[in-house]
Amino acid sequence: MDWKLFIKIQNQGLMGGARMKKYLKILVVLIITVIMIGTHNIRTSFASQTMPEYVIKKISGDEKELQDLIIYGEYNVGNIYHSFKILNGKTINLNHESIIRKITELPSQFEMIMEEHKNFLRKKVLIPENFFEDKTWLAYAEYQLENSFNGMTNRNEFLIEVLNKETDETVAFEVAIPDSENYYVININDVQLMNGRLKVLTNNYRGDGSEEAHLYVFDIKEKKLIRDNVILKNSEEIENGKWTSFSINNNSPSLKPSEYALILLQSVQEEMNENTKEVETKILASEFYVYNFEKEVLEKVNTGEQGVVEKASLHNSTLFLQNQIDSRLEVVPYDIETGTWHEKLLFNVPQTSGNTDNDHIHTDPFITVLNGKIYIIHAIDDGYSIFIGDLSNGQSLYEGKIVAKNKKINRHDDKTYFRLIESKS
Amino acid sequence: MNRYLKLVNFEFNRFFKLYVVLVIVTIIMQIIAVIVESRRYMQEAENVIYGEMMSKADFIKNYEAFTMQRIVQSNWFYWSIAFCAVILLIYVFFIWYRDWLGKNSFIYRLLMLPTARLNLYFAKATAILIFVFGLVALQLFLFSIETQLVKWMIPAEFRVDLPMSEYIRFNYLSIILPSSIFDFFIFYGIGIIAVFIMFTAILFERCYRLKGIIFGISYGLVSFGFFLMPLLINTFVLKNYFFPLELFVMEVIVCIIILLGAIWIGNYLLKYKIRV
Repeated sequence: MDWKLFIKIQNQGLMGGARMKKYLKILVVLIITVIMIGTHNIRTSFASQTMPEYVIKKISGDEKELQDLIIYGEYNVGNIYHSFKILNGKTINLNHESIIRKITELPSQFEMIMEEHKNFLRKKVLIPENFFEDKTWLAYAEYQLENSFNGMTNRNEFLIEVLNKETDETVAFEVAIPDSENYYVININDVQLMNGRLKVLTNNYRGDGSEEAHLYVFDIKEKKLIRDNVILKNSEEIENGKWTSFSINNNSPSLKPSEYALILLQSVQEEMNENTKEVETKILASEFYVYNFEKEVLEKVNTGEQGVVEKASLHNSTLFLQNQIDSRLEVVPYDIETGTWHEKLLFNVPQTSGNTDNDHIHTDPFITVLNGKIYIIHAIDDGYSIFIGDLSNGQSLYEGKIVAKNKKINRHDDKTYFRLIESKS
Repeated sequence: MNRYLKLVNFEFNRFFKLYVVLVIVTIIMQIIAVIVESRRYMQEAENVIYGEMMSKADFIKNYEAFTMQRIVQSNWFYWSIAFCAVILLIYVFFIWYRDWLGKNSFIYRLLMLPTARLNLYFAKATAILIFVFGLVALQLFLFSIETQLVKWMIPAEFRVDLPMSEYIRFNYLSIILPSSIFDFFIFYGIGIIAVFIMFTAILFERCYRLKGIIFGISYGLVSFGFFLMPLLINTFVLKNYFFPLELFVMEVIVCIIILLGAIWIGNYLLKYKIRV
């Protein structure tokens, strides 16, 4: 072999090696970086990590009851909290959702409207209380209150917008209310549209702490306010930890048409418990009123026989009063149209479960009424029991058990709270 | 492409020694954080258990078990991260100025290279990104070392071994290591755009010197204003006409325009206006 060529080849080899060596540092750093960040991202994307997966096992009833049902809850170990939702058998960890997803997610009631009448939703506050929807109409009411310090720009007015879905015509107008300076907050609780009149049920707060329930009636054709009815007044102020307040349709905001609204007036006593050093609220008295949107009359429901009622809910024209007595939940249906009480329905809801300590939140059962069905979730020894009952006859539609699977942190003081059930459809 | 890679490698090697120092300082500070926090906790446990005759179980109930959360919230740990961030931020400027300030104006040779000058711009940006992601990777690696250290220093009954996602939520680490990949791309995407804007602002100064400082700062402000524009217009002019999702898409488009603008202006300045 020619020496010159050999030297040349050797030099080339050497140079190649030197080149590799030159890039060695950056290559090592790059490879380590890619591997570390890559595996980290794969790990975070696959597992919900700390959160267990919840599996609902059927004991009896129809699986269909769980379809499109969203169960919201909180999982807690030590000082870790995770929000989750269970939908169609999947546990979704809301903490691991992207920030963009959190910002852009719509309340479930608006998903359909967003697809069909997107432009109607623009410039609006998307909360169900402010909307009304039936087959032909989509309506919106908002109260705008803007008081600047110098009094230059005062806006105290209702914004009303109604869309006829069939003709695609919209009517929009703004109406100032005459005595707006008396109120510092006006909350809209319900919006109903009937016979060309938009009826807006509100909670008005006065500066002195008193509350009023109002019904504002707007004429859509004339584009004006035609009535302002004061439905209920509550002037009592806080005294020695005792106060009264009322809530309107508080547990089921919806866009759907409804003939009635439920107003619950409660006096509450707040007391410091000497043993636990916690403030406990005791319901002293509760009064129920049903407001008829059509006739615009308020009717007090005589609950004389029922004692102090803790909770109530409305479905169509039936009112359900709830009372927990020891380990039973009593539900008393009241037919608003005939003014009659129906037979009590009894559901089994144990107040405390055997293996848990005195943590009261953990053992508090979660009870909610939605679309004429009652949903009860409470802790049992090895998980949570879920019960769905039909309130028209008290029969069980579904019974099951919620079990936490794949627990990542093996501590026994982990807790799951359920806080909301929604129907997607 | 080859020239660009060579330049990246060149920029990387120039900072490498300092980078190694940075890495070592970070490791030392974080290990100090682990040792200090673990010892403090065990000291407290000892004092309470022996001093006040409290049982171990009661101590854990009242004082909480030891987790990595304590370490990442400690001062030593926090400053180790802040230190890296500050050094890299300074280096964003220094990566350009060293070429002018060093002996016999090295920039002269760099600009004379038979390659597009934009490659220089990209190479410097790439080097910064490699350094940033290298430190992120280091942090991930350090977490596993630190968890192991904690296991050695704190007896099992006093600690709870949290998964990483738990102790990086709810604090400054969730920006460096977001829990969703989508957020990871958004955060670092914005970071990359910020680096490009700073580069172009620096080039303004390098081209027009004193006047260039004003140009550079105004350019930065204009870019930032452009970034905020969709949000501001939607809030104050259009009264929330757009939905959040639509705004997000607009922001993405605006960000791409800002990025391309920074590159285009940077290229122009390097090509025609640069002074040696």
